[in-house]
Amino acid sequence: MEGIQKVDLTNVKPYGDTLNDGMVQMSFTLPVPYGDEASEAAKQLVSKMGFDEPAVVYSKDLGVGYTYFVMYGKCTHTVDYTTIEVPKVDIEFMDRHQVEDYIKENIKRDVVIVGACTGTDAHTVGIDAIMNMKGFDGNYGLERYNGIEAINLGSQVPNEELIAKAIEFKADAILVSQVVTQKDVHIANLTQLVEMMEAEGLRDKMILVCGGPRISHELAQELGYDAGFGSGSFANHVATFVVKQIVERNLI
Amino acid sequence: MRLIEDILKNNYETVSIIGLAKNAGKTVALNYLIEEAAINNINIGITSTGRDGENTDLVTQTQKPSVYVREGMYAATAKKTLLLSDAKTEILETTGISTPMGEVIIVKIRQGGNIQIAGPVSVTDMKYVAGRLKHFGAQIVFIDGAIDRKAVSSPAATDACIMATGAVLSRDMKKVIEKTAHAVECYTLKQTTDEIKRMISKKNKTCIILHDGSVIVPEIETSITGGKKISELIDENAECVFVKGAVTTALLKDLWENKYLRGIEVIIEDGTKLFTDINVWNEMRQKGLKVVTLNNINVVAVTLNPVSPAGYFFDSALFRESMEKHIPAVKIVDVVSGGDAE
Repeated sequence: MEGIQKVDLTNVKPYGDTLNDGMVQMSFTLPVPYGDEASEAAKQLVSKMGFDEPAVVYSKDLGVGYTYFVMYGKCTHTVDYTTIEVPKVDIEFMDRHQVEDYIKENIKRDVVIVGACTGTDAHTVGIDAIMNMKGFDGNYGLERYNGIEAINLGSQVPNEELIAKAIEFKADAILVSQVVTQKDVHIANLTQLVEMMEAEGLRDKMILVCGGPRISHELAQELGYDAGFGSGSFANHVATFVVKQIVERNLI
Repeated sequence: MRLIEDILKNNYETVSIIGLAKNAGKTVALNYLIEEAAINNINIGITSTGRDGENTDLVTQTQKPSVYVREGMYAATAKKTLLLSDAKTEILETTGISTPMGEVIIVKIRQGGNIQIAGPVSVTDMKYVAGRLKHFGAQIVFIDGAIDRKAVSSPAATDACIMATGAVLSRDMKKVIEKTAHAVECYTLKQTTDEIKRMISKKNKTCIILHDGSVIVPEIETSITGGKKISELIDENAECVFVKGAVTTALLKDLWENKYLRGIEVIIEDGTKLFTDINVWNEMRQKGLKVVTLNNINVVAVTLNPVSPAGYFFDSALFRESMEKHIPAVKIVDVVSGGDAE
């Protein structure tokens, strides 16, 4: 394969037309009236962002003195891909039917999972995608699973109410979704739940999982959760983790 | 007397460092204690329930201080973090406890340097690891808490605790002092008598003790939602009430509805079980709510960090003076500028 440049994984930069040209496309709006001055302002801004050869490839008058831009620029920075390590939930995921069979063979009773969007957060998209019957993006939610009793408490559930419900339903696992994260309100909210569970002596008895766009497995574990699921996670991922943990930790 | 000597004199073998908020200065406090221990020739062990010594914060992407360890110290940390550290270490044993960063390993530091610390997350595992560090020769084991978690400071887990607070709690110094004073108040509540303790430990459940020495156990699954039921059982014959587990604002409000509660003591397990709103708590306390604990927590010091990573800071002398005035019973140490005064 002579002539083909090899990728240097210790110095990775964006690919446009050729390797390492660093080409990036970006778009933004500036609160200035459409015109040559606006384009110049956009170019100067992109230059300040650290891009070489900034270029306006498209601009549109949005009215009321605002202009929209699509820009190109060459990124001058690189990252060392070889040193990157992202801790993930390190198990082989099963699909819905496999999870159902696994429950039948290994747990031999219904698994109870209580989920909620806690604190002031009213955004149920995350918990609904995982729990609701219809699921998300072609992946059915936990309510559809045979052998799983899924209880979705909805949004703005206080931590103490979530714990009380988990005790009432004798839950095996608690799922917490946090979508709103301004001022890192999700952190204080998530730690309070763990602290309350420790105080109630429940932490070792239930599997505790959190999820949301700004939640990684690494963060979740630092907060004291068993696992964290970020964007792109589906019900079968969460279900696999929960049922395997039940067996591993002997919570049958 | 200096902080480290205080700890040694009181025979506290395991000391937790907890933060009242994220970035309150737990790691800075830990570094300060490592240095003090080195000066005073005290052999210590360190571990963490979260992660310490990494360069950038997982949530805010701000810079974090590194942990600098000295020769002869002991540490318990996960395998992968050990590989990222530049201190030279001798592996003493592996523990079989797994963390997201790999198995927890007990090491002795052979050559000083920066280290990353990530220990066990659960309180049960932490007690085991602290025991092993002591076994190998650590006179005091310091356990750094994670984020703003405090379960590790429960007397069931550690002998004493250091509370880290700082400007990060609020831009308003008054609010920082108020929150810190509240936390200290909860932690240093009086302990109940040995006799009552004996009676409660026999049941080990939420219960009401009557004047004649008999004990009523309400039929509830958890005190969190059982406030009303507990309250119904309190009458003129009640001597005191014991609440097991988390004590929430709603629970206290339910109990407070009962007028007989005014004269008697509410007993909780320890200060880490209180989850009450600061305003509700203060109001009830002023009206005469009496709360005592089964086991009190030894708060050896409150450490101050006058700088917030959000970019603002307090006048450190003023911050310290105000804190000392409001929390006279506990040693206040500014770990960023000054350390502790003689």
